[in-house]
Amino acid sequence: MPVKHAVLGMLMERPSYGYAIANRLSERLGPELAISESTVHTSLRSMKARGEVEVVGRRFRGEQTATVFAPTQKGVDLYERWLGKPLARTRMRDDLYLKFALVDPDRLPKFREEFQRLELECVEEIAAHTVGVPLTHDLSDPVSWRAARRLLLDSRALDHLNGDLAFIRRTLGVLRWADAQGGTVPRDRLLEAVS
Amino acid sequence: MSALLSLIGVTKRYTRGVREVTVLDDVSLELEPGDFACVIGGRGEGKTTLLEIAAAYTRPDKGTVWFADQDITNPSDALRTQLHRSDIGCVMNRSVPLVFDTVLRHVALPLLSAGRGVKESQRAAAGMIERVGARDYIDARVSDLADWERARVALAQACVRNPRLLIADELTDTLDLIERSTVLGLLQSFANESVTVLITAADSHGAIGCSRLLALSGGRLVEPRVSERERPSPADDPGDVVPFRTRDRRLGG
Repeated sequence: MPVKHAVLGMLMERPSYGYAIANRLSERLGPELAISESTVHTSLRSMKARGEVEVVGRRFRGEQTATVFAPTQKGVDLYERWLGKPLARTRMRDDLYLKFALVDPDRLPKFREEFQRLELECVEEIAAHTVGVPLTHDLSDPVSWRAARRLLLDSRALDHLNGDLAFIRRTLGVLRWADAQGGTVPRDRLLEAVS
Repeated sequence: MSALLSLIGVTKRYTRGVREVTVLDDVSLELEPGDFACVIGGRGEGKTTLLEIAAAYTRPDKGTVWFADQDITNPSDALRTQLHRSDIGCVMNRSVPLVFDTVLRHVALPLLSAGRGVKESQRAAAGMIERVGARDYIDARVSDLADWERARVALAQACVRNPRLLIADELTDTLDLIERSTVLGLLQSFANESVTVLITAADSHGAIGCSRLLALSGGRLVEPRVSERERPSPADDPGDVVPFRTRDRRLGG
């Protein structure tokens, strides 16, 4: 994810400082895509060196002082160009797919352990997007743009996670057979898993 | 707080064709009053079996099931009837609404069958129908309703006796985003009143708003360690910034 564009987007809304930007991004993007405060600071430093942001003030909080940044015209232009580019779906060429395409039967037990770990990881991420979300059953309640935006992002993240979880479970079902039968899988089990 | 429902080491096997399949493998689960638990899992993963065991409809091959300090692992017909007349409300896939009944009569049915008077039953049913937002079609035939309307009516019928445990199997799976969110909101509101809610969903969209997420996979029940959503509050986003260069900019967090 282009961190600097995310940070610039926050600064386009209003000048701000690293800690607050990280908090706002966490609220805006959700747990799946949250950006750490140190990553935000690194991004701010490099954008300042390139003249894309500038220091416009300080915020005093007890004995600590935070540097407040705002985008320069160069930063505004950069952000607008990025925002105007056509959208593209992420292609499935990550580490998991590549390793899965190359794995040999000898490594299946280890792979099965890894997929069990991934399953738990996936369920944990789903919990982060579902557990404790306050709902209402009154459709006449208006929804703020902030809440609507979060709901849309959650639904997109859950679509993605559902797909991952389905693939992981399908694979685990087949791996259990492959592990038990020394690298072969009954044809009916394989078809049942992928159907 | 003590558990209302406890499943301890529950195992259930079925025969599919020539194969024996273990759909629940040493599953344990404890639910307290006010818990809103959602079990997600794929087709044939054992979600419905888990609910049927929790509702005392099906006996496990191994393990024990407790409801409010009462062993319901092998319930007699009388105990099962008593549980469903007073403490457990169910919306199972197999509970197809009566085709020719009106919504009011359908929702009042559990009260009538428990021996309550017609007027009293219909008054209580009307109150529950109002609560689930189905008042507009109270006199319609259940068979004429859309999926999302039937989901609300089924929920009203399951809750009309004010159960302590509410069980719903894939209630929201066929609903669109708006209706699913509304029905889940209703379930959340029952949980907020200390009803223990246990539901299943085919995927995570049906788990939004629950307080505990559980996943069934290969007969095992997986529950994530962290299940509290972290949402920064507006207080983390302060706006009292002292500007030193640009006077006309509103500086904020």
